[in-house]
Amino acid sequence: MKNILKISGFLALLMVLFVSCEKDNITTTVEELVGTEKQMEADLKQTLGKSANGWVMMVKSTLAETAYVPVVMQFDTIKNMVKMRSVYGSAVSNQSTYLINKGVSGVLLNFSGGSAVSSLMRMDRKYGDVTDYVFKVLSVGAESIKIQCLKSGEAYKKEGGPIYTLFKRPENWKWADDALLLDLKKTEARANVISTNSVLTLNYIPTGEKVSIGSHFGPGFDGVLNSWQLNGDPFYSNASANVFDKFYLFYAYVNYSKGTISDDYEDYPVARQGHNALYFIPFYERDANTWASTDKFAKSIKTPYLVINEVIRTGTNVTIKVASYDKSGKEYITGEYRNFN
Amino acid sequence: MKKLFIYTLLILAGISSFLSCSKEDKVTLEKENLDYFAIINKPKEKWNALDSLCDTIYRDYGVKIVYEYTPQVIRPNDFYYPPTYDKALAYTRKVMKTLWLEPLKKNFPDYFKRETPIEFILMGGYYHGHPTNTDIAAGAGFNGQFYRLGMGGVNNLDLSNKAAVHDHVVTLWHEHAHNQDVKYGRGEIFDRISIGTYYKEAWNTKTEPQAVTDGFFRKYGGFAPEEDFATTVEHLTRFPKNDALTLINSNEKLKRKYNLVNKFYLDKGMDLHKLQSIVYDLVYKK
Amino acid sequence: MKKYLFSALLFLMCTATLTSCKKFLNEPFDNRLELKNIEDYAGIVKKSYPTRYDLFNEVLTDNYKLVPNLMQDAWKPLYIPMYMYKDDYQYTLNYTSPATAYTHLYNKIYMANLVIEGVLTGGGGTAEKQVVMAEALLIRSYCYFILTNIFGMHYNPSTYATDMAVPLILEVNKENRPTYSRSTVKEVYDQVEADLYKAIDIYEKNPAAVPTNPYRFSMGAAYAFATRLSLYKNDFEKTVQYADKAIGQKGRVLRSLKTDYDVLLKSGWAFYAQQFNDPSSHPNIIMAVQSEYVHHPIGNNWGGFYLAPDVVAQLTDNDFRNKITANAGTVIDKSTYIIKNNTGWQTSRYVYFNMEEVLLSRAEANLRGTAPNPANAILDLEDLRKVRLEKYSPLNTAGMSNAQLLIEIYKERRIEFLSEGLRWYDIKRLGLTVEHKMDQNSSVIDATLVKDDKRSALQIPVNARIGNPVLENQLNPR
Repeated sequence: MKNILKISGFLALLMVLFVSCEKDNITTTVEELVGTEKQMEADLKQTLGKSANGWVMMVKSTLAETAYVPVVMQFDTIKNMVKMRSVYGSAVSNQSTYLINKGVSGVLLNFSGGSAVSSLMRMDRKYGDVTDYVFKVLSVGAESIKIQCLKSGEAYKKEGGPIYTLFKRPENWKWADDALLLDLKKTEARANVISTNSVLTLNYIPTGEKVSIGSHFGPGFDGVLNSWQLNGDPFYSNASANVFDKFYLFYAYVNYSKGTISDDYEDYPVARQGHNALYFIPFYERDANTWASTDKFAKSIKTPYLVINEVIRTGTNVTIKVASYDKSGKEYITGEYRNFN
Repeated sequence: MKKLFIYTLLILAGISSFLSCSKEDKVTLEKENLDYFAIINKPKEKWNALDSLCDTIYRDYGVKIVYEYTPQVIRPNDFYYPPTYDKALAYTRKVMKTLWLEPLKKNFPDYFKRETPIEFILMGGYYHGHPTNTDIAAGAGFNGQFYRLGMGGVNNLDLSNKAAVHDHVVTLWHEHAHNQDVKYGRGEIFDRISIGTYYKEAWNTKTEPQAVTDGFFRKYGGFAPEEDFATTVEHLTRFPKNDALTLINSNEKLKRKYNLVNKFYLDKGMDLHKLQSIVYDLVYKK
Repeated sequence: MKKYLFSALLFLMCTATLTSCKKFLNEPFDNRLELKNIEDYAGIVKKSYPTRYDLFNEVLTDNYKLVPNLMQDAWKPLYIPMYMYKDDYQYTLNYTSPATAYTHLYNKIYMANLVIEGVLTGGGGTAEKQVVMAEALLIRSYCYFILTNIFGMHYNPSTYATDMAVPLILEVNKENRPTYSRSTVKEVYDQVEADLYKAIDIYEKNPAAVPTNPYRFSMGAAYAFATRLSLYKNDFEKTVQYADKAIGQKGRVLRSLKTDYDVLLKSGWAFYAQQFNDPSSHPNIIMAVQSEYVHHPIGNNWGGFYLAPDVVAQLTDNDFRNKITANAGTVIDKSTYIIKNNTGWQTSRYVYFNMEEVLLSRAEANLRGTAPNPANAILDLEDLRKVRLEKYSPLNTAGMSNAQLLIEIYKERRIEFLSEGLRWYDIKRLGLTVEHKMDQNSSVIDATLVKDDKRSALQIPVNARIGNPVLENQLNPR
């Protein structure tokens, strides 16, 4: 009898062991998981609104190695609206919607309305490497948010595109403010800038290298601007990407070998005016020369864009302070256009 | 005996601890009970002006206007791009409300009640099979559906350009015709009119007069029976009755198509000629 | 006494049991047909014709591109891996596939073997018995010909002694569960030829008894088969010889596609497709088979595979073969398919051999043989073009080299036999390169098949390996 008791006690113990083992198998409950997701969602919601000047996403252009193209996003977490500034331009009232959705991979940051992000997804990879306007949220921290494009590109390709680490907009990024520092569509901005010889000097911060290039902004397109805006603007003529104001473009003549102010020019890349920025991305396929010149210029200055952080006018002297940033938003190039010696 | 028990117990405990260990390594997150795709409506306090407008339209006409894209709305292997907020707002007000739903409900109440899709997707651009390919499909690209309609090109539609707006609304009725086709079927008799003579991929190499001679309202209608049906509706919605009939009477096949399609719509309470004059007046005379 | 009685009773009972046993065994236990005489064997042989389960091979060719959003979902696990030249397709699905073809063809081989083994010893006239056996030999030969061309590398005298084909089973199995090992391509081809030529010999000796029914191996069909076999072996002399014989039997009659097109205009797609491969109204068809619908992934608007852009480009407006195509999806899907069969789930007819193939094979052989005869090749080619083009004008062949002429013939072959299952074997024997994309809008090519690609010998299907473990050690190299 005693033995039987002992044996049954022993068996019961054994069973308990196995049962507990099985329970061990499930360590995460659905409730906990929902909790984690909810926590991340809440964190994201809060953090997005915690940068008064917005967050920056640096996208990569195929035209440059070190220079990355900034997109600044200012979130209104009350109304789920977002304002975006990119070097490519700005929308009329500059507002768009965003949503925080859930996907099979967790929390999604979804730029649900047409914006700079959906536009970049649609454009050629020279403009940026964005492959979706929906992003998986990988991590949320006080100073950075890590997101990844949900799609990686074409149809039937794997999930998960490029990863971006958003950071808070640096205070000295004046170009990203609302105020337009240099709008060459306006007469007052054109004075001593358009049809004026100048020199572009660029300092490459990591190497200490300095470059001077003779420069001249020509009004060559002014007469045909309307028709170019309609048919030549790669954003406007592509409805899916058409989120920016109509562009302004001009010939930015250059003299690579003579880095001083002079009347001689070797080449004529085309510059387009973005939001407080100039960008040099070849876009007009029917004209091979313009295409090649612009491509050459972007590659030789190692950036497809130059933001304009300050314009200083003293009499007829004009200094346009420009910069280009690296992946983490640090200054990679600083420099200026100057129309006086 | 006692000792034996204890030893066995010890050994078993040892084994079981190893077992639980190895099991713990394989812990995976049990996610299948989470409904990631649940559609959560935006809470009212987050509404913007467009959300309020969409809500009004939903209450008045029962159509959910979708201007924000989520993976739940847009299928993953095709590429559609959302419209910008400003364009979508202006478009919803003018095209959705004033030019489509309002006159539809007022003039064709029965047809409105039965044949209005419950969802309408605004597209900034057009359908693309590849994210950055430059070729586009002019139509909305997903209107062969039962309950959903959509229109492309919202970002580029200049609402002050009357001709462009008229063309857009006519195209909307073309797209809606696909919807009706899928729902009821255009029928074997319609298909037999031009059977074997469709242009297929070569439609774009034909001229419009050639297409009319061949019995199509437009060369695009020569692509396939589906487009043949939709371009018939489009023709009746685009041109005033007399003009439309002049062309129709010039060709036996067009006449037969017209008779079938006109009856198809009249049976459901829609007089396409009347619709044409209403749309025209709204765009050009107001 | 008691014991005696008991023994007697036992003895009687035993006898009774045995007696009844005897009677019982006299009757087949399930009323099955006993093969006794010529009618029985002829009945079997009529049932031994295989269905065209090899038509899946169109998916492997450059004739078709994949459009996944226009594909029945249930077919994706079967046809997409196949299109990517992968072996791990879902073999349990009973649609047209290597797995179904393998099982089906061996079933038919079993029936043919039954006839070959027994017919001569059964009752009936000698000539009739000989011819029934010949018909069974032709079926067995055809089945092995298809099997080796699907599962083996293409016939190539420098490697065929080691290239593996399929197991040769030439007798009705009498064991419980035998295992079979694969024979070489040479062995199978030798067998195919032995059977074929033996049958032709019998046919030629007993012409009166040879079937003329277009659903069976007639004299013409046997010759057409020999034409194809010889072409696949690069034996151009024999190709011409048997093509001539086939034409002698059936006449040089080609399909008038205009007549089919007129049927379409008059009666619509359904009737057009129903009659398209009807031999009674299409004398160009040398041999056909009627079976359940097997054109799953192609030839309809839900199959997912549509004509490749270069094929569509070749089908000009002036070509009647363009007029029997239709579009799936919408204008943006760019999905064209050619209709040669009923596209519903009903019985349809499929072609084994037709005069177009005989003619184009002869034309090819006339250019590739040791004594090329381009003039004859042009005649054959033009004969076909005359009945395919709406406004016919002869090719400008003046100054064309034989190689250039050959290109024209291959182009014609490709579009003439669209969806008929011949292109895959042409790709194998001519060493063509095939590039397949998952996403037609992408520039990325996801699978490329090159000349003598190992994957052109499809893997022995899993269902064949189950229960025959020998094959596990004889898989096609990858």
